[in-house]
Amino acid sequence: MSNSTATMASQRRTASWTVTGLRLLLALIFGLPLVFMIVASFKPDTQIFGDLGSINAFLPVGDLSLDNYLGVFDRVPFGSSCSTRS
Amino acid sequence: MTVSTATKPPAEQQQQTIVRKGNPTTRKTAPVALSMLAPAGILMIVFLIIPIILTLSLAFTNARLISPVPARFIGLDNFTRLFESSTFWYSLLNTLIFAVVIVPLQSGLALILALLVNAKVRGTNFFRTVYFLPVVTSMVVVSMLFMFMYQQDGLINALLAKVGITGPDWLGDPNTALIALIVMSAWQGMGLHMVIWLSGLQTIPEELYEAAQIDGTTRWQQFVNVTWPCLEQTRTFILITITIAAFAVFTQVNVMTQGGPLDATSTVVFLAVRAGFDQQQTGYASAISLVFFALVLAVSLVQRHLTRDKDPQR
Repeated sequence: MSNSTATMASQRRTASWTVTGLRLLLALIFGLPLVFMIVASFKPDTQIFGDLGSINAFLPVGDLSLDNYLGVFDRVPFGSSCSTRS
Repeated sequence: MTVSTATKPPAEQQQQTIVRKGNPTTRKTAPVALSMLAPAGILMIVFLIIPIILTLSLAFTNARLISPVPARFIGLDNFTRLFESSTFWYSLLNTLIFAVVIVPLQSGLALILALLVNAKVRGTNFFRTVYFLPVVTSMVVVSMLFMFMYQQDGLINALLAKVGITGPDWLGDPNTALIALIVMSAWQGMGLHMVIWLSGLQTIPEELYEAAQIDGTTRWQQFVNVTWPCLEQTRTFILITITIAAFAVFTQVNVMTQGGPLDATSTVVFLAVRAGFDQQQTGYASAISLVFFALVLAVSLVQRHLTRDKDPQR
């Protein structure tokens, strides 16, 4: 009796480890693309492509800057869209 | 307790007399009520009823978005042209494939997600948040992100290369473009349906599981005999919302592929928008919308019939 409860408990423990592993895997699948997007927003184009093959693609390392964010204001006419267009 | 039951009947009688006395007053206040109804009513007529009637009538004319020539009645010409166009049949097929694949994929995986984060353990809130993140990200943003990741030398192929697989040009290859769109859409929408499943899961009383445990059931038997039957209402709701959303797929196509390559990802709604606004053929676009409406109506009726059949059995 005690033996069977022990195996059941160990089975449950393996099950809970599988569940935790599955949760982490799914969290990576859902989170990493967004992490990649945010991290890439701080990198110049050449470095984004240079980092693609390694873990660096998801880490804020290397030549980080806010240039992309500044570029938005150059490319998109924020001011003129607020004022009258015609 | 006794006081409240004692006072109840007189209160009800009083209310009734008030209503009976108030009837002439209600007639007098009818204009006020109508004027209060007016804002919502007018908006509905202008933005819902009139467009529907216009679509119905424009579908049988050769109306154009901007044209000096007035629209002319041309009978069923728009529909014959539509049914002769191969692009339309490809779009219809793509829409159907999209719906048929994404409905079980997205709802099934969302249920697994919900089961995984239903347990009350540490970190559950973190996982719920992460799974829900794509939903609060705009579909246009997600489309741009995946466009970049799906490139020939993009992130996904770089990761596949790590394990020795040469990935295709996902969005450029007619064989993989639709699958790539389906995977992305499921990824984006799954979190929302996870939350709906979760709300259904949490309405199941704990006692049922306790009773099942006393009977010595396994986890799987508990799922089949307790969880699944208790989720019937949720299931119907999720089935209908995912199907309608799947038929209306447009944003992803418009941002990522523009219906290409070789019409491999063109959908009915995308076709209608392109015909109506890019090519300015309002009449033709109305005909496409009408066919789309008939399609969604038919599917909804079938689904209602299927989900209604189960009710008398209870």
